[in-house]
Amino acid sequence: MTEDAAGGPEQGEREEAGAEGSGKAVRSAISGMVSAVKSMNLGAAVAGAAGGTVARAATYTGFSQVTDAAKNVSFLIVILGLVQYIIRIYGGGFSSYTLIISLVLFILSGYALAERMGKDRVAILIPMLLFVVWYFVFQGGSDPQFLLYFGLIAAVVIFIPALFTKGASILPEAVGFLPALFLFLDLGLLPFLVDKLNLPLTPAYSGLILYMPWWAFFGMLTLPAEASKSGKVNLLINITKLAGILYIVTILVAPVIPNFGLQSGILPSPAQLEEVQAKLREQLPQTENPFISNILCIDQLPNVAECVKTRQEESGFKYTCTKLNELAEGTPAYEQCIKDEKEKKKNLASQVKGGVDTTIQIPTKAELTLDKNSFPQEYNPLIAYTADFKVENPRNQRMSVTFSCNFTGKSGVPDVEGKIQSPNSDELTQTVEFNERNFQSTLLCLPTTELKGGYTIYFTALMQGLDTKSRLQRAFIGTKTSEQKEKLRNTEINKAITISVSVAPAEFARINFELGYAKNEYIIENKPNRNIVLRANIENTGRGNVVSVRGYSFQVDKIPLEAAGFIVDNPACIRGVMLSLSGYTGYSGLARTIPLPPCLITDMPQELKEMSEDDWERKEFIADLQYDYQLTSKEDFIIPAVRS
Amino acid sequence: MNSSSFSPSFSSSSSFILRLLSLSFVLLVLFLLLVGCGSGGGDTLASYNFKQGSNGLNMKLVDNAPPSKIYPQSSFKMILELDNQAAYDVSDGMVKIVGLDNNYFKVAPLEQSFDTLAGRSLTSPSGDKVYLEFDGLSAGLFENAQEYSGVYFIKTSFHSTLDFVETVCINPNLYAVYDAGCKVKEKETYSGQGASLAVSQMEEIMYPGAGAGAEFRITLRNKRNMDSQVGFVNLMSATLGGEDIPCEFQGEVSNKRSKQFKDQQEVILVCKKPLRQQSSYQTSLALHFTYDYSQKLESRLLLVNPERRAGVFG
Repeated sequence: MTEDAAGGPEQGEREEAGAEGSGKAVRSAISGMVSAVKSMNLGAAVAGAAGGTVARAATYTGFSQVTDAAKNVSFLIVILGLVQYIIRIYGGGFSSYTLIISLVLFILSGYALAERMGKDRVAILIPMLLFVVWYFVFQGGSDPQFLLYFGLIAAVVIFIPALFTKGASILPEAVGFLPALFLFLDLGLLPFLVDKLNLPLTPAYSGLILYMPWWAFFGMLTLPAEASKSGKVNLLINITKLAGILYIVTILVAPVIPNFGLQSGILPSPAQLEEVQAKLREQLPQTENPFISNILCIDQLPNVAECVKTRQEESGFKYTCTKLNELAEGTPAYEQCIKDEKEKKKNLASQVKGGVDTTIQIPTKAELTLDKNSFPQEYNPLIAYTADFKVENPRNQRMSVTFSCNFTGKSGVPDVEGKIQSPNSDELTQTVEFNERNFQSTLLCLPTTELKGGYTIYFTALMQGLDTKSRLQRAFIGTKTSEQKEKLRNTEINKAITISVSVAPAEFARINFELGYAKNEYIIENKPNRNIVLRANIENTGRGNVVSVRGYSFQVDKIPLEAAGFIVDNPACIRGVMLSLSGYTGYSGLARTIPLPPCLITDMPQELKEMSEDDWERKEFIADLQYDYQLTSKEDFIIPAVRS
Repeated sequence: MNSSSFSPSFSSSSSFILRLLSLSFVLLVLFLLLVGCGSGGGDTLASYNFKQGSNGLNMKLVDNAPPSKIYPQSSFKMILELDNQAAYDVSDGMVKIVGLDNNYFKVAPLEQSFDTLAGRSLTSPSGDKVYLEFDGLSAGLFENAQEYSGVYFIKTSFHSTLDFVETVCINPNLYAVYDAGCKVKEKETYSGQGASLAVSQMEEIMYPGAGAGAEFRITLRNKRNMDSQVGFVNLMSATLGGEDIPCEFQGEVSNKRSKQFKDQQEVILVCKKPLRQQSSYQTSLALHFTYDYSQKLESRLLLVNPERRAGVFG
């Protein structure tokens, strides 16, 4: 089907629609869409949808060249894909809009591919249709028996056209699986795999998760080199292609895509996929889009890399100060916050990074949620404000939680104390102790005096007695030549050491630590003239605040470091208490990173110093953090003055 | 009457003869069968050459020892099978387990020696086999982790020997057009002599004229994969036609009859001998080596949370 051939009837329809009055605009638009779908031509869809008094002529004259490009479905996919991406990023993740646009793009992508194929293009629809039936009608059924039946039917459906076309339809059929793949990728297949299959979150992955508009990428891939007779239109399309390629190259900092073939039977729903995508986005450091950084650093040639790094760092500081510490840009407090963040970055202990222990799939979690809809609409001393507190405590830790609430007045309204209702206490707070695996409690907060005006209600839950352990593996090789060391590293240690960077369960806070001669070096030799350094920090990884550190300590083989024969030059490095963290809190009172004193390991156990030529030993070091953590939830509301 | 009186004794003696005949017939058939089977064209055990190929000491862990999944605080066994498929005895054997994390698995003993394992031969066609047992005890998982997977290595080292015998043609009279004697093969390759270390190639170079001599360049190669390593190789004896032939390893300065492979996979031995007679003849070149060898087996122990089995983790 050539463009000209398709253009004849469309134009007729467009003219017909344009002649109708404004009252028939909607009908005209629908008619345009229907005819577009019928003729499988997007140009008609655009024209039809824009029908009515807005005048068809504008479609053809006003936007002449742009619309010419837009006639190309791939170009439209690029534009629509970018729009959908922006909605997702700035619209707070999953919404029905993004899903609808995804589905529209799915259909358009099938058409775009069909346009690029020669004969038997309709065959592209077969796998797409099969996918839709399986994923949406059967909700991605994974029952083996069902899959067997469905697979057999699908095979027959795919085979029949291949039979009649003497195999010519096989290629279009295979190509038809691409839109399904992109739909999955767009909905969040990669974040889902990272989350569920514990794939390592490489920089390349982070880039793909944070910055990849998959549908726009798809549209770009299918853009023809010469979509139009107009040179300008072709130039526009080729510039889009080039920009797209540059964009992808830019966001893939480390082009290492992990191995996918790990497990089977994962059939997430669109909502699940989007949810995981949003969750991972939240966890990743929020810095400026690397593409934008690169563009804005072009004038810094030849120091583009340095400029990009600086911009990325500064955007990270900005995020910390504006989003996490809730400071307004330009204020003295904000400037001080940026300065402090830069200072922290310079601190060696603060630079130590850690990761999430993916073998612990159920970490200790807590949630404090307010339901604004349940708030009283007017003051009544007997009607309480409610919040729900929920803890998942998989290790049955014994913890104590103290709940409190207060009402902070807005615009000159005086603050009001709140009282958490408790059956056996007249105190304003309520403390509960538990060690259950799952603990839930509904909190009722009553104001101690009458409320009148605008307030922010704060519920806090102070959890005491939390314990989070991090771990790290190191290989001790004794005295070896550098050849022996490298041979052992390449043939054995690389395979055996799986935790070279400290990891901890995804809980409220953790100790990140490093041990060895240098960053990321996991082999420790017996070389007295080299420094073995232990450096660590406490990182607040949750949404609340680390109130105090009841204790931190390091162990190896489940015994304290010194008892195991590791001698350090500064005992505060391996054991200590930090009851006050006021020096480390940010402007919203949050302590994000608390550096611990570093130290040198001056001696180690004899058995780790002397080993035979092919011998080495693996040791797992554990950092234990005992701490108190406070969660806060707030909500604004207004109590009108009581009518007399 | 006579006949009746004769008849019993006759019948008993004839039945005895018949029985004897049938027994003899059966024995004859069996004998023929045995002889017939043995005289075919196939290899008999007696004529089978065990000193070929590159089989060595095979090691593997017995199925379910250790089990594929180990639960916390449980005991388990690791059983290592060592099967000598080489044509030479293996002695001074030692097995060592390296890379296990004490926090999760305690295995005892971590080192075990094993007795000499006879190689494959006429008297022991299948070679010696030994099973070594290691007792394991699992500890708990880290916090509430679902699993812990620990890669470890079983390293085996031993001492063994290698023989190489080949008929070579000695012909220093290279320009004798009408010499109907043997032809020198400049290069010959070999698949192996029944061990992991093998003579893989031999080049023969003849020096004609007054100072005639023969030179043999012999390549010794480790035929197993990269998970194995040859230590020291010692040339114990080298004879050409029953007489000693001087040999030295390339690159060695002090002890030229000994060579450490280090990370190499092959070394070259050069043997040279001056020749007294000018006519061509065939004779045998025999070399006898001893060597140290080490190989390793990579495996993994998987410690799993029992609650995972019960579906707590979904």
